[in-house]
Amino acid sequence: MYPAAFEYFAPQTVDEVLELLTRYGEDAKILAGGQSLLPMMKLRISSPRYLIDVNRIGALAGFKHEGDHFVFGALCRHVEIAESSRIREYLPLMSDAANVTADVQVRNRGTLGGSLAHADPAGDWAVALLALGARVTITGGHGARTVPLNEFIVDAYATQLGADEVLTEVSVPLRQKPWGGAYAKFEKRAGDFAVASVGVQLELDPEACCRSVAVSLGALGPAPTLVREVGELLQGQTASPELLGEAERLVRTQADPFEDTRGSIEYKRHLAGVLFRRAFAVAVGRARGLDVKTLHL
Amino acid sequence: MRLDGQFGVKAPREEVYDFLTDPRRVSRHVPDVKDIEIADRDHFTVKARVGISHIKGTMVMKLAITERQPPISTTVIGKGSGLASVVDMATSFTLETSENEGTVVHWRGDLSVSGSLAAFGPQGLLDRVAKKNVEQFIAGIKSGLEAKETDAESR
Repeated sequence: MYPAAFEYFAPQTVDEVLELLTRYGEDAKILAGGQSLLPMMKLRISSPRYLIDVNRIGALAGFKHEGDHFVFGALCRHVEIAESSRIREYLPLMSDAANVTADVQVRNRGTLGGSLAHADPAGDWAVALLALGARVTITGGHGARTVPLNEFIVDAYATQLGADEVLTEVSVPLRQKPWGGAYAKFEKRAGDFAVASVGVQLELDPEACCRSVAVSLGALGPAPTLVREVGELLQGQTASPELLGEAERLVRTQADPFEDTRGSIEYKRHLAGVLFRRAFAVAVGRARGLDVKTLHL
Repeated sequence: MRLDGQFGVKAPREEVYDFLTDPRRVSRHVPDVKDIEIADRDHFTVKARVGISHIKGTMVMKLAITERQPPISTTVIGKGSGLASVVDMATSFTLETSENEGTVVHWRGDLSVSGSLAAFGPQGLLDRVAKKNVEQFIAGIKSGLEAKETDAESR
């Protein structure tokens, strides 16, 4: 399959990208890793007339640890996060997500910014980053603005990005230890999109009470969501079996999945509860300093 | 997929019926219609942008008004192609006189999608996209009828 004809640009700076976006508006599309866009173009579901390849913009590459934040360039590849020992140490939830995103080939090319801007309801990054309270920087002709990720994604495949704007950066705040997180994903085949996925990031106090808990759901609605009720339920509490049971019930209730070939609504809700339990247990272990692996099966 | 609903307008049934069976007038109020060609009284072709967010493309819909029961009901059926997919649709409107000479429009849409779009995402998501487009279409019709009311009032 071949995509429809398009005109190709390879700007070297963000300013040049903005100029092109201003000129071509909705007829233009930004090409980052191309792991979603190119298949869509080949299926002719997406047929942009102008393709703006941002891969040559060095300022958008990689990530850095700045004080109490990690800052990721929009072009940071999944593989960079998957293989980083620093990310595994500070943000194991992201490490989990990066290692189960699609397959090796996609991870080598796909980018964090591209994945967020694509806003696939079953994508991994938004779920992981929602639990971490990430913010994204959107750059446009009028300058840059930073928005919380939960406001950035507005619906399935829809974000706050205007036709003349580009996502340039993702910032993830760090909290004091004991702090731990995990991302649990269930997929039908290796490398597939999630049937359901859950992110848990929590902060404990020295008495092992939950100082804060953030739970996010993926592929369980039109867009990844935070289940704030669970955070409210567990805040200041020690996670007893009864409380965890109630939290699991809340997760299942808040999940709003579609029925499809991957499973029924009832099945996916059940799965949400199971994944929440797994992610929670791993997150607690990690907050206590243990080297725990997340089970995705 | 079947969708239905109803809405009320402050206009007599005959006027609403005339509006609904005039593709040119309807198309002016439906968002993202790029072009309309009228073949004869009952057949027309509409070019419109459909989809959500960046999964958008032009769909060419060949439509026909198959049932006319003035001023009670009408049905439009058709087939659209675009976005490497095919859409079959049937929309029917039944009009009911309400209080104060207003009209209640009951609508029902049957829609099926096949091709790349159907293969791309989960069925539930596709239904949602289709629903969004149908709702925009109905909202366009409603606003068109309301705009007519304002025209009439200002006269």
